[in-house]
Amino acid sequence: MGFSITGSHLVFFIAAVAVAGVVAGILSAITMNLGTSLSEKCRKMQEKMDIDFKVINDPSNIPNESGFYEFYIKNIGEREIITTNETFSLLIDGNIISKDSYHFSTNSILPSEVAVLYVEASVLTQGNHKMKLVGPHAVEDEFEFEI
Amino acid sequence: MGFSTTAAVAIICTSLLFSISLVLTSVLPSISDLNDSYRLFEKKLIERKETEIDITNVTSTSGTPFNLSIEVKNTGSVTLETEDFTIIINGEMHNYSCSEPYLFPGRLVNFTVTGLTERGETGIKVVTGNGIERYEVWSV
Repeated sequence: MGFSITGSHLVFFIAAVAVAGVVAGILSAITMNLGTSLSEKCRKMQEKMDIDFKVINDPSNIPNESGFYEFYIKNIGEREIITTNETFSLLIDGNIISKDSYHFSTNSILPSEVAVLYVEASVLTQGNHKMKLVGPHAVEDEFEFEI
Repeated sequence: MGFSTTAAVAIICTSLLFSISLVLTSVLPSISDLNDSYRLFEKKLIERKETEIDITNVTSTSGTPFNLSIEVKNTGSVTLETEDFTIIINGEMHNYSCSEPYLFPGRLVNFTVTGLTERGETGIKVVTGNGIERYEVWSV
């Protein structure tokens, strides 16, 4: 009888510790997951707020050199911007331009610096156009110009 | 039974303390950084709103090629770094030299662009480091 009481107490103890351990594990895992997600989200929002750029060309006078129109992209944010075909998407008059049809003069621009975006002349016809340049974290700028 | 409950509560409390310390050590610094970025973003927006420039005079040297001197006035309330400016003449970006490192509110500076060859109506665009721009056509 004495043993059975001790035994049942032991079973209760092990069960209680096991359940508490599982609850504690789940709680820790959820907190860690939530913490990581929040930190990542904060980091992305921070990057988005720090990144900004602007097309600064003279809209009525776009330089054309060796079959490429040149657009000047100025970094007006607080963070270096990676300027590649992978980080930037280009839309002209609402149509997405193939990544083979444009490239940048440099792979990155520091704050206040300017990169040149070369767009194949064959992509643009005579007349007025609207360019939308979408950069990292979907930061974008629109620019209306005349060819 | 009493000891089992105590042990279970102790384990859960330890886990809670661990979770709280995790939040304090990982999430709070991120939120603090985000807050700093937001303040910087806010400051940047205010600075942009308060930045204004004017092209007050344009002169050129004689002969060809010639130098163009662009006099710019800070008509806003923000001090601007002149090395952050961009100068576009007739659609093309040009290197320049400047008389001062800073353009204080109400003051004037001269930007000199060398080696130009085209005279006549000249479209001049001056862009500050924070993207505020001024475009004017001057006869050179």
